[in-house]
Amino acid sequence: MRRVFQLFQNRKRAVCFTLLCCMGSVLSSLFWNKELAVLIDRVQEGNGLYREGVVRCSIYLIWAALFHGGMQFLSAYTGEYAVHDLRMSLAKVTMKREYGEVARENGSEPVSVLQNEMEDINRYVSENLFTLCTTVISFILTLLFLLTQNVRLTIFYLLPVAGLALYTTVSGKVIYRYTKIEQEQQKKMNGITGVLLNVFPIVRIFEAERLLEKRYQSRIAGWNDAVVAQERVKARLMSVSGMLSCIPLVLLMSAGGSMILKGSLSIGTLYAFVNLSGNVSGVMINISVHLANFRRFCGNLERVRECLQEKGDWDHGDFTERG
Amino acid sequence: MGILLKEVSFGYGDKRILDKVSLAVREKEHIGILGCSGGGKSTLLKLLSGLYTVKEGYCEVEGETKPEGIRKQVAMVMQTPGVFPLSIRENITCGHPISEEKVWEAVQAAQLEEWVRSLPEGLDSLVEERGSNLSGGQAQRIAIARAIAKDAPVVLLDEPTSALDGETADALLRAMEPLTKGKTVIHVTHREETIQGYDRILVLREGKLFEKESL
Repeated sequence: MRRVFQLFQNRKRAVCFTLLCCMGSVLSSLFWNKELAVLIDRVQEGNGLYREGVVRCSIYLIWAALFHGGMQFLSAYTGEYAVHDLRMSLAKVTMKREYGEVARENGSEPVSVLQNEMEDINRYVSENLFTLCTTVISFILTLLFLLTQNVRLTIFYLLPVAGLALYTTVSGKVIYRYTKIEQEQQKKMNGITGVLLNVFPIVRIFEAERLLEKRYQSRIAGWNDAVVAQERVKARLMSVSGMLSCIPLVLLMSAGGSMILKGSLSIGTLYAFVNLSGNVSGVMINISVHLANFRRFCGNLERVRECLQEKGDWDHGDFTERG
Repeated sequence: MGILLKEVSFGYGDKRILDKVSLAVREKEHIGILGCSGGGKSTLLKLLSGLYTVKEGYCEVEGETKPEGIRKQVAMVMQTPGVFPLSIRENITCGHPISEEKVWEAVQAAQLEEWVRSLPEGLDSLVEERGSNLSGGQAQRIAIARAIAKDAPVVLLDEPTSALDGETADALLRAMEPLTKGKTVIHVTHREETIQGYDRILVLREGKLFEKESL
């Protein structure tokens, strides 16, 4: 986590504005749903639209558009600049090194690994990081909102989600294991291809084509088996997960419906619940995926940091220069 | 005649690397070729090993003129050993039906026996990609054992010791004696001490081949 803060320490103001926009966007959605609930209840009671309601709806829509646009812009801006800072820091560390040392490493495997790490960081920051922030903010605010609307219904529909989250975590681990096997098999297959290019003269002179072809075919078969096993397990676990993910909604509809019949809940509020339930249950179900992605991102950052520390000094690098 | 080259020229694009090179090597003759980096030494060996096709001039190795035929007549040890990510046995036999006895003979001749016997899986021990689980000397000895096992009449050596330290290089030169004994040998190098005692020493300069004495 420290590394994530370090990545953004030169962009504190932009991060604060981005997070404020996220909050504003989520709040606008909640107010909009609250207003919709009121409108539905009014229509259900036989009353027509009223001017204040229409004005409020219009304000919420403008509010939502402004904050959502701002969030999109600021998250892209902040992310790009944070990764730019990291690249520049890396470039500065490289510039301070001996020419011979840099020339020797140019195009080597550590450099290629570092480039891949940077690519992963860039992708995560631009595609996932602020989406994750918005998801977390949305989760907290929506949960609070739903609790203020109806505590019993909120708890009732969220309880089985805990079980679902557990299932997703376990199935995610199983899929990860299979994915790892598949990646290893692919690496072995690619390794043979790389070797073929590397030892081509030897292969020709010693007529080892058939031997290597046989080995390559067996590696393709190994990879093929791993892919089939991975996809089979994924399909089984994901289809069950898809089926189970309907449970919260079914519970919400059945419990909410009976509450409406008893008169303890309005149709408008149930509509708001149905509309917003995904903000909470979706996050809980997919928490393991979010955490795994975030951990991978932290791992990428840590490896880049290690590399920078090896070659220069991350802690006294570019990150602290702009304050 | 072991090897015969007549006015062979070769180049990459517009750049001419070999310019009308002629060479006659008797059977079992040992020839050392000296030259600086980029002088065309490796290109000459690639032509003699049938990796490149001669388009200008004439090339004959043990009576063969086509690259496929030439490749059957030569064994080569290169600067980089070029090991496969397979077992030690497969690295030596290259998938050809070579008897266990012959493989051990090659291992022994390349001074690998003690090391191979110390491995839990012996000849079936796996070599990792790019020989990452081997030392430079071990990888090069496997390449020598492979060349010995092929038992070809012509042996081509392309600076096989240049990537090794002095002591390992000396030991490797000793390990190469069984490989070169009774064979026609062309050894290209930029270090003259590695070809001491050879029948003839030639120099490749600016694409042309000279007898060392004539310089």
